Amino acid sequence: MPEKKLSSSLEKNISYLNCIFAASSDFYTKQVTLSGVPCAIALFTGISSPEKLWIMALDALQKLDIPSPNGDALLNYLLTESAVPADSSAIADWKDLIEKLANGMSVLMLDGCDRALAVSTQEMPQRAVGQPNGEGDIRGSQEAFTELLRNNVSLLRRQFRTETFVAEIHTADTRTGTEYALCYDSEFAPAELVAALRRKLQAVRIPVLLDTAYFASFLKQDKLNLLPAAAYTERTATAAARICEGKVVILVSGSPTAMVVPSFFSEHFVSLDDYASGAVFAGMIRILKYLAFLLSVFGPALYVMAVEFAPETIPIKLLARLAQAEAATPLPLVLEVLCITLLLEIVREAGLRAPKSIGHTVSLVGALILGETAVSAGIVSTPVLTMAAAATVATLAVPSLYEQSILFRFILILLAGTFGLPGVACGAVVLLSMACGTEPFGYNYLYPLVPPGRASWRDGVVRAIWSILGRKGYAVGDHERK
Amino acid sequence: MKENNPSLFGALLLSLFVRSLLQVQAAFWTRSGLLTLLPGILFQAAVGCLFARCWRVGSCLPLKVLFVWVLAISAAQDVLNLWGLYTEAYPDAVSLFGICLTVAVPVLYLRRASALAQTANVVLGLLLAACALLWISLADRLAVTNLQTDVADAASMGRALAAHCTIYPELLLPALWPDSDKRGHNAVLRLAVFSGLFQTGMHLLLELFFGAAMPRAWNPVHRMARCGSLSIFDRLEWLQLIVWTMAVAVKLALCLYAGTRLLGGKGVNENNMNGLPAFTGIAAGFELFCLLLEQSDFTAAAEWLVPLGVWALVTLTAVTGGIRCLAKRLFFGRRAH
Repeated sequence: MPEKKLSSSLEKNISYLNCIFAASSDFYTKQVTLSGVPCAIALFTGISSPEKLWIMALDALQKLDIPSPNGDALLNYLLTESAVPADSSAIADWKDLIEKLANGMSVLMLDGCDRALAVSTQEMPQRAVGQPNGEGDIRGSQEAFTELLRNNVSLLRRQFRTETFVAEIHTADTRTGTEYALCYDSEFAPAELVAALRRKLQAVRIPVLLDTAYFASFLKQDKLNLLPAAAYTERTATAAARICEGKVVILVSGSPTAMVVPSFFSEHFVSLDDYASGAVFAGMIRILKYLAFLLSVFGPALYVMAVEFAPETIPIKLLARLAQAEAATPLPLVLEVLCITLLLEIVREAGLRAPKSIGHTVSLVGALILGETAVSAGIVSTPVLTMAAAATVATLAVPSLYEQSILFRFILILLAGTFGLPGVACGAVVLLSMACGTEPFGYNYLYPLVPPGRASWRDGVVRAIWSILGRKGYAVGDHERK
Repeated sequence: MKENNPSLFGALLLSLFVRSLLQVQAAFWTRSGLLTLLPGILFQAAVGCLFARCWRVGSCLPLKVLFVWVLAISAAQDVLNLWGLYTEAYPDAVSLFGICLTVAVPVLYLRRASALAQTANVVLGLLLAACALLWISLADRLAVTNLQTDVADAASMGRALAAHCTIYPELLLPALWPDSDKRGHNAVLRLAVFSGLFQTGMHLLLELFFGAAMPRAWNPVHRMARCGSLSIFDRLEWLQLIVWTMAVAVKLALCLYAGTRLLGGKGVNENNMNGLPAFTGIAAGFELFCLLLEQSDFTAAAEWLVPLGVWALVTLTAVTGGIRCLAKRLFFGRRAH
């Protein structure tokens, strides 16, 4: 992008713009005369509206009567005295001018003036604010983020009617110059965290930035760690709640998903509904989610370990049935479990990627017919299918840890099948050490679960009633403020 | 929520507990153990403090190499003991290579002090829970009448005292941490107290279970776990083995961490992540070391090799530290005159 300054000659500026954007059919430029000064307007149709420009600015500008008119005087008048909705500062270089144009603003260039004026006439095609697709909640706000960064910031701003809400907008170092926003509460978010995050994101250099998740790997301390360093949400209410906890929400232009930093392990087991429903019920659901995660990760591996290496762990009646079922199948147990788990994943992926009209059919055919026929043909045993299906369903109880659940499950099945008991122990320590070593921005990833304390029972493993939660909420920077 | 200075106390405690569980047990009766507990704790704490004090002034490269050697031998002893337990419970199911691999792989994720500290705390909690489960599972088989009444003779007292006064490498490790000046002595004392109590508690369990027939072996706890029964599981040794494997992996990570600190000097930042290639190389080297030791009768040799190494280290450090301290005083004394 050119860094040089604008010329004071209107002709030169117009020819330069035409030179850059000649091939773009959506580029629109028109020469006009305002108060006797030759001017030109430039904009991109489709993201900026010429009609809006006319109604808001040009009509009023043509009626202006400025004594001794020249480019500089007119620009100064428009900046300081007129009611035209223009940017508060003038454009001085081409980089700034092109950025403003790309943001959907109209640019007014004046003859005899080496500066230009940006007028807010954006009219972006956009999707209406809808419901979130991936975060099912029954109660609470059903608003979800959209693709437009400014809209997303305004959705958050609407939730915060305080002076402490900050939304910093930066441009990423990408070929497309994508904008992203850091949203936080200046009172609760630790300054050190915000500064570190700002520094890390500014150092990111990637060709394109299409989603907030692109930033995630840059925020990880240990690249070998498979656990996520950040959490994601489509819900504005969830993002607002996280900001209230002193966390920073990152929004990227073009992405309807917000990233929350720092993120803790327990957050994956929390939903908005937990706080809307009764504390006892919410606590039970949370414990169920933890159990579901453990089942999805360790279930098939423990099954392989128990049947192959440690049959004494299984009650004798169940063991007899399992042995009977396994004797009828040709494949080794570990291979059987791996194959069926892989098949279930393929079915899920196919159902997800297929067009919606046939997605359900794919799932139905895959899950019912393939499973049923595989058991009837004696290729897999019913207990294995039951265990694999239970693990897959359990994975969906904690959707934000889906990728990790699948990866850990495969690793653990392999370890259990190869090494037996020590394999499971190895997998458990690896998983535990990953969780303990994640440390997003120096914070304990397992907080408030480890070390166990009052916080674990207040809003961790279970949640306390609102009167207790309200008395002492927590924010990530609490201990730093003390 | 934010831990800037992670404490490795949990990791040290876990290592000591693992040692109590995997080494030769039933060396003494509980009554003797209780009577000699206090002197044992005081002795261990005194030696640990003396070592920490002398290490500050007397540490040098040969001593550091000796320390690394003691740690390596001690970690290898644990791995081989664990493998021995596995082969007893599941013959021909697991190779030594498999055990080494399963305890070495997690070490890659435990290169940072904070990760190591946190993981150790969780595994310590699991170990204690597994021990509690063992107690519950055996509750109906424990008999107070099994406690021996006429055993506090000189020989038994001597064995108990010797067990309590054994200096393990873990008791010397607090001297290496950068904040040993602030909490090193306290940490050694606490380690000695908890270790003594845990060891005595395990012997109480053994005595209540076995009575006069208490075996002197390195796996009686494991043998008890086989007899334990819960409503769902008939035997519990699989759970014990899983938790012990986790604990041995953490202990190995602690030894490697201490080793890198020793060889990297005092400038190594406490919470820095150790380099992956170096750490992987050390872990692979350790695996080879264990496989080599398998060829010889190392398990029996380690019984005396580790204490010998520890005492050699303590003595040499005390002598070096003492000489340096004396020389310093003399030198400064003369200059002052």
